[in-house]
Parts: sequence; structure tokens; C-alpha cells
Amino acid sequence: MISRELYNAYLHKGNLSSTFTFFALALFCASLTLGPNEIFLRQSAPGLIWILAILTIFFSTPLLLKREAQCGLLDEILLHPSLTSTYLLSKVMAEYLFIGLPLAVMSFLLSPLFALSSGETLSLLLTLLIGFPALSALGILGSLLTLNTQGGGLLLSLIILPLTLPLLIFGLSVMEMTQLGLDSFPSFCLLMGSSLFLLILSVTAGSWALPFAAER
Amino acid sequence: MLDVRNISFLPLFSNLSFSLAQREILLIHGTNGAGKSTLLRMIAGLIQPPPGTIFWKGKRIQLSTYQQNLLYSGHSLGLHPEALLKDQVNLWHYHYRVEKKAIEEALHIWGVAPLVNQKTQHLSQGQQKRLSLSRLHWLARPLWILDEPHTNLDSEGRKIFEDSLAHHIENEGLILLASHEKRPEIREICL
Repeated sequence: MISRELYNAYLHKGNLSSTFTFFALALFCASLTLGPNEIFLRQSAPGLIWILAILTIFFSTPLLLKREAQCGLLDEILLHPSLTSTYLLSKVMAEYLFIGLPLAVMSFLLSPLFALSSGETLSLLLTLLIGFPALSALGILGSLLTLNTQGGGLLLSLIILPLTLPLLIFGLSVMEMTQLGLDSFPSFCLLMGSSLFLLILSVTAGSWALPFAAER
Repeated sequence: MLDVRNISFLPLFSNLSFSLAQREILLIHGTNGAGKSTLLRMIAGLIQPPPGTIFWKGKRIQLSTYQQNLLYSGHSLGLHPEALLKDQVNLWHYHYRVEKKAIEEALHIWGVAPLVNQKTQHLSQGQQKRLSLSRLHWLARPLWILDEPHTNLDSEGRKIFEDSLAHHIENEGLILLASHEKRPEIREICL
């Protein structure tokens, strides 16, 4: 199932390039609009990058999953003897490798636009790498819950976006601690804990939602 | 081997019962919107059937084990929208753990092997149907559940399909077929 999902994500490479372009362009435009004040840029960069990462995942995942469902690929998954949670974990892993990792690397590469120091850039990269599995899992859960609805994007924002708050709060807390030169380890632990909790929650809820999503 | 007892999905059908033995084909016949696809999806377990309504080899089904016995082909063809035909072969290989060679042989039989470098979404409807139905040759499952399998097939495609049905029946298979076309030679139930 893991190799299938990795291959499946690889086949979506054409759609993923537009996702990455959106993320890079949005970051570039944001850095231009914030002006040349370095202190202001450094302070606003973590929140901006995190919110853009969340939006990018929540825009791209439902589109990919909807196309797969329309083509009957979810039926194949349900008829497969593997547990649905195995499928969802494989999908999270594939999304992490094909979307999360490139987005984190892009944030790292574009961090000079926000005048971030090397320590801050490293902290930002780590927080994104820790947060992305939960973000992907939440994106997949939201997609499954809104698959058969009209205007699913709005519902997705209402249902799933609030669940990303712990990641946002603890991720930004790590960045704040780093910028103030304080010990950021406790915030890292909280970020890891909330990421793990949200991953488990999303996969469990997704396993329940998958058969209903495929009932058309 | 397959017993369906008092299955209902209101308002489409209620208390429907039938059984299907080895070497037997059953045609679910009905007009558009009569509930044929819904019934087949329920029997395949893609819509949760009411408990105690479907029996396989005399026992109440456990979905995960029962589904390993069936091949389901519905309206959606199960082809990846972004895949070249050869990518689709790889995807099936990873998903079903079937040798690529067996899949490629089936593609030859269905006449779609020369299209390996084309995107599945760029194939004609008939070619996509042929590609999807090639599973009949490489996925060895006793129970076939086929929803409107003739749609978009030309006469040559229909001939290959009919040969596949005959071969499966010879090999002790069971076939559940939904169609709005009458087939006088096949036992049928009407919805």
C-alpha cells in the first residue's frame, strides 16, 4: 500500500508543480508587500509561512482526492484487504514526501526574503517538518468529510482549520523562543505532541469517514 | 455460493432475495434509476449492506475477507487521471501484487497494448473501458460484479468481453451483471 501511494503521489507531479508555484509566489509577494523593515519582516515571517503552508495543503489535498474519488480509485481502496488506516497513513507519508518536504525546503530557501537568521531558519524548517504530517492528515480527513458536498472548501475551513491551531500556536512559540534567544525545547515537545495527537485523531476519524465518502 | 436475502434500499428496492451458484450468470435488469448500481455496490460492500443480508459460501459475510473474492467493475473505471497507460500497469502491480507480465498480456488481448505511452484520460471512452475490463483477465477472483460492462464497447470489444464471461463460467466462476439491455439467454431479476 505504501509503494502504491508513493507512486500515486508521483503521478500527480503535474498538479503539484502548480501547488509549489502558488506557495513560492505567495511568499515572494508577501515579502514585497511587508516592506524593507527587517525587524517587522523577521517577526511576521513565521506566522505568514505557517498560514501559507496550511492553506497550500488545504487547497491541494481535496483537489487530488476528489479527482481520485471521481475515477473510482477509492472503490479500489475499499475493496483492498488492507486496513483503511494503513491506506491513510500511506497517503500521509506520500503527501509528506511529495508536498510537505518540498514546501519545507522552499520555505528554507526563501527565508532570506524575510531576513531570518540561520538559527531562525533552522527552527522554522524543523517546526514545518514536525507539523506537516498532522497537516496532511487533517487535509485528507477534511477532504473525505467534504468529498460529496457542494462548496466543500468552506466546510473544510469551518471543520478542519480550527484543528490546526495547536500546531500554529506551538510552531510560532518555538520561533518566538528562538528569536528571543530562550530555550525552545519545551515548545518543540508540545509541537511534536500535538502533531502526533492530530495525526492519530485524523487517521482514526478518516478510517471512519472513508466508507461514507465512497458511498455515492 | 452467493445468497442475498431480503436486502432493501428504500425507495429503490425492498426485500430482494436471490442466490447465485458456481458457473452461473445472473442479470440484474431494470430501467435507468431503478437501483441496479446501488444493489451491486451493496453486494460488493461499497455501500454498507444491512447485517445478515449477504451470505458467501453459506456464511454471513465478513467484508474484508469476502471482498477478496470479488472483482467489481462500476461506472467509474478505476483509472488514474494523471497516469500513462504504463503507469496504470505499475499502479495495478503495486495495488494488487500481480505480475506486470500478466497485466501486459491482458492488454494485448483487449487490444490496448499499443497505447502504453498515452495518458489514460486521453484514450477514447471505449479504450478506457477496455483497459478497465482487462482486469477480468489478470485478477483471479471467483465472483465478478459488473455494472453495465457493455457501455462504450464496440463489437470487437463485446466479443472479447463475452469470451471472458464464457471462460470464467467454465472455470466455476460466478457473474452478477447489471444492464438495462435484455439478455434472453441469461437468468434475470427485474428491479
